[in-house]
Amino acid sequence: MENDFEKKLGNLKTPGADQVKHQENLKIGLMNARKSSKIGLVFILVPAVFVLIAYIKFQFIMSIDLPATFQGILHETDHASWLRWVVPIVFLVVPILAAIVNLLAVSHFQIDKKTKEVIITVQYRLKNLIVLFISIAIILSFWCFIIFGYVHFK
Amino acid sequence: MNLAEEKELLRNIKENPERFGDLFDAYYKPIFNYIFRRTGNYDISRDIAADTFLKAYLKVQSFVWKEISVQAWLYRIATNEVNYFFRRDKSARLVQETFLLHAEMLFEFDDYKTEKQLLEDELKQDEDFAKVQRCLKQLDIKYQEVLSLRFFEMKSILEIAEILDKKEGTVKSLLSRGIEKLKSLFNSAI
Repeated sequence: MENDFEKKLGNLKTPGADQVKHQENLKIGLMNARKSSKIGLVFILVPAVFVLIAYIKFQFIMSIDLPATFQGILHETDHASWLRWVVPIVFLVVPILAAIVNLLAVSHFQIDKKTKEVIITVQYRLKNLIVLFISIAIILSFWCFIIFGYVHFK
Repeated sequence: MNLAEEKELLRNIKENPERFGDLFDAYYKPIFNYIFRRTGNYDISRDIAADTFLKAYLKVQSFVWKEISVQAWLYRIATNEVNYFFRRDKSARLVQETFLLHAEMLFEFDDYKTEKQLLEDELKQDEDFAKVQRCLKQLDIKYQEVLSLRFFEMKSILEIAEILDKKEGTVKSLLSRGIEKLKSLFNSAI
């Protein structure tokens, strides 16, 4: 009797797809996952390192209590011509690029010719989404900073 | 793909990771079908298959050729992913199932509907398989994995031992006890 059941299991007709059409869509995302994560990491590390260095420098100057030196450095930095270019690049251009790269990594566009629709899907990839949100936060903070008049471009 | 071809492809992947696409093309279908036969849900199978291949892609550089073939290695990752899905507490599974149910709206293009419909119809039509699958899900994971590999995937004892990293004797004994348990559930099921 047990052999009959085993035979029955052996002869089971198993369901399965002959052609898996979603395979190609998945492949595109998979093959780009590592690349886009690395690029995103680089783009987020640059402003993060910049902020960290600025913070450490600020803390160090405050702790040795040299307001005159601090003011002098600020005065010099304020007049440094390179800063006018570096700040917008680090806080605006780089996060915008990071946001674009990561947005492209998680989104997928498909045109359905029959119904004349563009189907946009967003894949759930935590690393890319975190980088995307951090980039957007940096861009928004920087814009708020400009709007409230703390930074003046000459 | 035979062992020599797999070995060659693995060497190529280590030199150029883009060649992982060839491995993906060769094994996606059998792995997806295996996951579908175990879970019986198209969306969950798609999700688990994606996780399986992402893990394989990230770990393939450290894959060392020993006794186990690449195909068996992929089956092993897929088996672990399916087991993880079944072992998770019910609330987490419910959240995932509900999310995927609503996420269907995102994938509502013709190919998706047709593919999903065809597979799920096929599953419904074959009553015997559907009943075996339902009963199988009630067994311990250790029996589920050996029985599904043996009777859904038609793997030999040796192949199952490779995939599950168990001794052949252990696989045989798990199979024999598993069949017994499955039979009693099958006979008592409506």
